[in-house]
Amino acid sequence: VPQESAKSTPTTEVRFDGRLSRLELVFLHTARAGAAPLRTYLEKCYGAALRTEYNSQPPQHWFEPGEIKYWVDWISRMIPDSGRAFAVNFLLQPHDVNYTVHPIRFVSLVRQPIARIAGEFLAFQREVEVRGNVDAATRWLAGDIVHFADAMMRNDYLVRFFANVDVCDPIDDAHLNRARGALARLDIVGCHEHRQQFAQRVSSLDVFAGEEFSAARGTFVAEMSREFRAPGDELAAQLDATVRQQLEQRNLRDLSLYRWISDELIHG
Amino acid sequence: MAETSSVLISCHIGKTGGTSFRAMLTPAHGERLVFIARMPNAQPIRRELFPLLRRTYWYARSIDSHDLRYVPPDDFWPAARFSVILRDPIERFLSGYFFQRYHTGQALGPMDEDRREAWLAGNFPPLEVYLEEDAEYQTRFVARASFFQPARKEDLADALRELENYDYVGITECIEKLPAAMAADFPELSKAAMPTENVTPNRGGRLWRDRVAPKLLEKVRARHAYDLRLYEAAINLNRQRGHPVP
Repeated sequence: VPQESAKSTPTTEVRFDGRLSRLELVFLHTARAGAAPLRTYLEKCYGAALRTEYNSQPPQHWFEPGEIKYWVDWISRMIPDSGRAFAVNFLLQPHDVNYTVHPIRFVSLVRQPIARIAGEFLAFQREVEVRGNVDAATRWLAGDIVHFADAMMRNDYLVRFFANVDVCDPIDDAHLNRARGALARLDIVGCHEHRQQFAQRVSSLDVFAGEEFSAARGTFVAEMSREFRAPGDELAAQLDATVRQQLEQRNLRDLSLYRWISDELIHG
Repeated sequence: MAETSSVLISCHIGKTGGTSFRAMLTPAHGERLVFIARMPNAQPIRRELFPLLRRTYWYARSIDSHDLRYVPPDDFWPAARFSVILRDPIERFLSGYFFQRYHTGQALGPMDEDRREAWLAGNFPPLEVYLEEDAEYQTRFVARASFFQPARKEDLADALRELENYDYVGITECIEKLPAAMAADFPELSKAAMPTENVTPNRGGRLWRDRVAPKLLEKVRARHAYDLRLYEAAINLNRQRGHPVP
């Protein structure tokens, strides 16, 4: 249902030109990063001009050349009064979009890798509990976080996301470097553990400069400034030392990437 | 869920009646019907990721997606049964084109119909442009070929071979008979009614081919030679299997 947007565009401005010339913000939504308040903020600011594209599980990180570009073109053709902002759960890059009237601002939020896996594990456990009627294999998955991370291919997720590597393909240090390169090109990278700082940086972006966004900006920053400890953070903090070590061993590259994000992009 | 319980993997080609098929499954399977959505024309879900389908959707009785293709069930879910629906290629192509055109027009919001039509005429790609990217779609789909490269002769050979792997090949022109044909594996579908969903508005209910200039129609037909062969093969396959044909 189209929502009223603070950034609505009169129909007379609608043009079909095979691209999304009005696109100005892209949010790259990594899984279980605690980005719900940002989604709400974007919905308030953009209304129907926010286009979300969340590929269902199993995750897809690798794309055939032209695949994302086709999607961009498809949106501009099918939904001409849309596409000022995107929220997507894959790596959309400037070269996928062609020309735009204003520079596109790319934003992403990440979470400490072990806490992220813990969050995914708890979500799976909840689903198993709600749906019930599970077989032995599923019960085993829901009972062991290390087995869950292996069998559900959740290890080194951040590197795969930002280096375009599918969860079933091997990765090496070259992919870690590629992921760093992709992250360094984004305008804002925040982390779940410093939500307030992330919200302040996002809300000070030029695309949200208008007075009409002041209420939404205030709510967003206030929401992200609240003391918040997600259940996944709690579980990660309580993990048995052996289990934690096993998970860390499986996520060495993600942990390295996360340290680099924290040192270079957040506190650097 | 027991390993022996059948799960239906519906490999959904756009504009073949697959949404109606899914709507038919909804009352029968309820929350055990899973719809996997990805961006349009996404590459198929990789074979190596199929075990994740089993682990993520352990509860499923049916899974519907534009992004699924046949994979040997023993690789991931021994009781999986695969279905695909094919449609007269000319009708599918034209329906797809007018579907996109209609929805683009609707996305412009409330306006005078003449103005809407004028906007579409000036901005929406003409049928010939759409033909360049959508021709032979069903062949490329079944063959797991790229949607960003033109179909090749090898793709038709792959599609003809792959088609035989599908347990159920629906034909849009007699899609209402498909649920009963699946009743051996899915008894709950034996009396399921097929609703009509997501249909391209078509005033007068005529065939799409009767609404297009003969010269243009000939172009469309010429660009669907592989799809026409695949469609014919689907009908022959169903005849051999005793499954519904138009």
